[in-house]
Amino acid sequence: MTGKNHNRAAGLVAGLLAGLFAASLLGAPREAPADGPAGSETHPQPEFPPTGEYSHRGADSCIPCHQDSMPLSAMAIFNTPHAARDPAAPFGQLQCETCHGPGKDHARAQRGGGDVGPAVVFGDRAATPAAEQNAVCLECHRSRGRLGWFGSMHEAQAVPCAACHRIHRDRDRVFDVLAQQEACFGCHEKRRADSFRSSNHPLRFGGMACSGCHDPHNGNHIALLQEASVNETCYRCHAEKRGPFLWEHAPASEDCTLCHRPHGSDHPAMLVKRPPLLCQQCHSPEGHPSVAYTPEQAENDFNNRFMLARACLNCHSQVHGSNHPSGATLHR
Amino acid sequence: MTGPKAQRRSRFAPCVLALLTGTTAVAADAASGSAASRGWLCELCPAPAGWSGEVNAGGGRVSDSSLKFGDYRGLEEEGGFAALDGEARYRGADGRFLDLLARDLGIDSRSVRLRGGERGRYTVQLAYRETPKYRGFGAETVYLGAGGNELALPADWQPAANTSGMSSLAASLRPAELEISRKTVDAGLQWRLGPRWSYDLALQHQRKEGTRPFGAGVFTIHSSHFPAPVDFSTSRLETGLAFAGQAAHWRLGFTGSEFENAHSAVAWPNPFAAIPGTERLRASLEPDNSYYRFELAGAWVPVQRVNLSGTAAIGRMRQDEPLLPVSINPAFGDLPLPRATADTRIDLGTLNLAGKLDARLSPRLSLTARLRRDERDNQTPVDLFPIIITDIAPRAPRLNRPYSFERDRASLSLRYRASGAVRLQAGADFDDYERTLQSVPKTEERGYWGEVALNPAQLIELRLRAERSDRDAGPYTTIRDGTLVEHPLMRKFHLADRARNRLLFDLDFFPLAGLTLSAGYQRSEDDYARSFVGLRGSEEQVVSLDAGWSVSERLYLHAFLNRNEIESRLAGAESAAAAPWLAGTEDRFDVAGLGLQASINPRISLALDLVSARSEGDIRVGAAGRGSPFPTLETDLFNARLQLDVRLTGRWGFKVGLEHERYDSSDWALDGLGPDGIASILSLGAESPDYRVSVLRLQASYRF
Repeated sequence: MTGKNHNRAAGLVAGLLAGLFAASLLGAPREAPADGPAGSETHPQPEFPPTGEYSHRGADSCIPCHQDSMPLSAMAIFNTPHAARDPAAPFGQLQCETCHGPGKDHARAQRGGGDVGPAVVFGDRAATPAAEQNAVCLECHRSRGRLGWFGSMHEAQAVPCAACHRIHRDRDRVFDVLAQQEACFGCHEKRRADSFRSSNHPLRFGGMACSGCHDPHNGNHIALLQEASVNETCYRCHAEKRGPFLWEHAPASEDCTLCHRPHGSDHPAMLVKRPPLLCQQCHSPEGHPSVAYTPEQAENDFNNRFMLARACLNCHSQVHGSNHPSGATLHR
Repeated sequence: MTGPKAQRRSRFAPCVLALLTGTTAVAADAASGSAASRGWLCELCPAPAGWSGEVNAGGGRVSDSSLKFGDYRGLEEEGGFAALDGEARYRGADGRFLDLLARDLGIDSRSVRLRGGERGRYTVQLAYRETPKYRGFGAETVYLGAGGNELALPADWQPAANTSGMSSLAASLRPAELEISRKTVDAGLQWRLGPRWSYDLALQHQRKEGTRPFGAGVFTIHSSHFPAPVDFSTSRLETGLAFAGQAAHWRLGFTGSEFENAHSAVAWPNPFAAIPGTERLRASLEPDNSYYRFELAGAWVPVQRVNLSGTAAIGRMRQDEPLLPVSINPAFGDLPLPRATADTRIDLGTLNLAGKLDARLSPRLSLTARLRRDERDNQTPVDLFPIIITDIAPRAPRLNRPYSFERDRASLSLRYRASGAVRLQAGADFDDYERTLQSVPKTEERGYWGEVALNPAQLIELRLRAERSDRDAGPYTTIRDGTLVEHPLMRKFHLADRARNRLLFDLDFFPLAGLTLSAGYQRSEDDYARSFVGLRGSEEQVVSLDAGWSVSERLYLHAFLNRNEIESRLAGAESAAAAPWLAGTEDRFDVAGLGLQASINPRISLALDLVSARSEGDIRVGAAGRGSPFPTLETDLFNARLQLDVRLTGRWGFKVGLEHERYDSSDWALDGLGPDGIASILSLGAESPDYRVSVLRLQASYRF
């Protein structure tokens, strides 16, 4: 593995870039109708075309039933970017019906005391299938991690965007470092329990959010991580561990989770196991690494140095790697 | 304590969520026209609100001092504190907006976030956050100069052969403040350049200052622990240009990061009666380093229902730190190094390529195929370094070992929606890992899985998933690189043959309007059947129960219970001829919680959360696993939080917050040890923490 890989990678990147440019040009956008919604520019043939008839008065048909005083208030959306009268925003297009689809039948039925929902209903257990809900959102929100949405674990499990996002609120909870957990823990119950473990990341205290490590949309990264690998994700906050060190500790350079449990542990430093056993999983040379450290040995004035306090780290502090020329054994 | 499942409470959920959610432009056909063309006036749409917000100011009191309680949270000291929070919003008629959010301004975990811009055109963001980190509860040290890189012993320090002989120890001990303050400033910009183009920029600067525990010494003879300096700065830049076309979307991004450590080494005096030359010792600290990466991510819809997406990234990590002398010991200090210190350079390349085809072959059948390649190409020059172990023991020169790997993964999955009530999935995963300079040049893993999701009635959702994978490591070579040679039967677990089984079961039950009951079970097993020394197997089980009930629009109740058991077995041998010893570990976690959120009336709201979290860790080591067990490692946390919000008038109100936390722990590796508990190690004497802390906050609240 030498610099030739970089050349090959550069070629691949350039090729992919050229391909995407070509795809962009081949799919050159049509001119949008002068009075057409901006969405028609980017997706002339929607997979889920709207059906039914639009209401007579747009949002003015909806608002009387969805005032703040009503149980199903929707007015907070006017404090959000979605209510901008910009052609790129829903209210610059077909107002409520941009997202919820043609609403004439719904409005008529509600006035008559009927129970016909909007054409597109959003929510975790809504009548509208998740794929159809999400197609509405992805029509505009397709950038960054959402480029990898299709085929991601969340997409495969038919999780609608609305399971996590609350866009009819002043502030979508997923953008709040504390409230975001509520969205994640709702399905990932174990992670909520993990957050109370004694050795942990500061999730419980709002010191970070799940999205500090995970991008819930990006199926192109393993485990929906923010970065392409586990270690690159960890290095976002722990750049001191990045090195590369003169003397590397091979598993540390490969995958932090070989030794650490990032969602919480009962062992110090979120370790998966207590040293010396953690280290003895891989180190067995004759001498102190291979000794069976029993409870009785903890009373032994010689062997307790390998078990108590920081155990192996009493001497081998540089477990992430050493830059000392004599640091091959990770003492210095 | 709410979440997606928690929102499944009501039979009216579809309607409720229809209003609570939704996003942007549905692809209405051209015939649908725009609001303007349809004459939709939006007369009832409210005018932008201008300024609004809430300021909460008051004070609070912490009942007791505890560094563990204050870890990440602040509030580590008994006494009063200022309780200041607030938020402000501006919504202008011209689309301009501003959001200001401030939390815990009066304590060490304060944060402020400012976000503003013009809707649909640009957004700018500025944020600041502090996070305190405490370690070593009850730690004490004899070293002077903590926080610097040249530590000293008291002038009257009397070295001794072991800790019990250190006559001046007791008089010299003082609290070791093992605290790191992390301060982070973020700035960001998202700029919509036109209908198809957008630009984003994120800058971050992070400072970490303080001390952390560090231990090193002379061979296995003796060691000492001390507060090592932390004076880190990390700057990070992420920027990208994105294009949204008719059928293709892509983003070209750049990430750069620079890490600086104010100290490249730490030196400390040996508190033991030293072998000549080891009176003063020195270790390297984390070197300055840099990282950059270019990434191209794209998605393409060649035909309807077919999505191609991919990411290609290439980056480099470098560090160019001058090397320290080979030893601080004058006897070896002038040994020549193979590389001039100023020219020391470690290059490392990363390459990540991922491609994915997602196709809906029919309304019922979907296919996803993925290919992924990751490379770590370590280009560090290999040289022969003189080795002086712990400044005292010369060893044969060694070549440094720059580890590289290539990882290729592929997967194929099929999803079939048999009916509205039945969803089937199955897939296969391939994972090949090639490594250099390690015992196994290549591992190959093949995995298969299947999943059934049933929704037989509106009342029940079931999901059952089973996975099986087998990793073949091939021949295992014992590394002989100048270090001690591993046991010939050792198989490092990440390089070993492995069979992995995993079973997952989820049940959601909706018996009443607004009531959700969930149960989950997971079991995973790893079997390293061909590893005679090293990790031989592990099992993990998780059982979770969760209930949420929206009793009414004003009352929501929530409860959860989670049990997690993690077991492992490993074996060792003190020599190639010795009988093996066995060890077993078992960690158990039990977490339970109750919560309620209530709006007693439009002016009074209440939230109460109770959580109990216990852990127990058992370790048994001995011949054939019959050795006596270590004392159980224990943690026991109980947390109760009450929040009461009262609005006295439209603008004025008050908030009362009460939190009580009890924490007990025991750890045989720390408790009762003290700094001199190990004859050959002068440690920091940290104890496992126990505390009982209550925090009361009282705030006046003003809304505008």
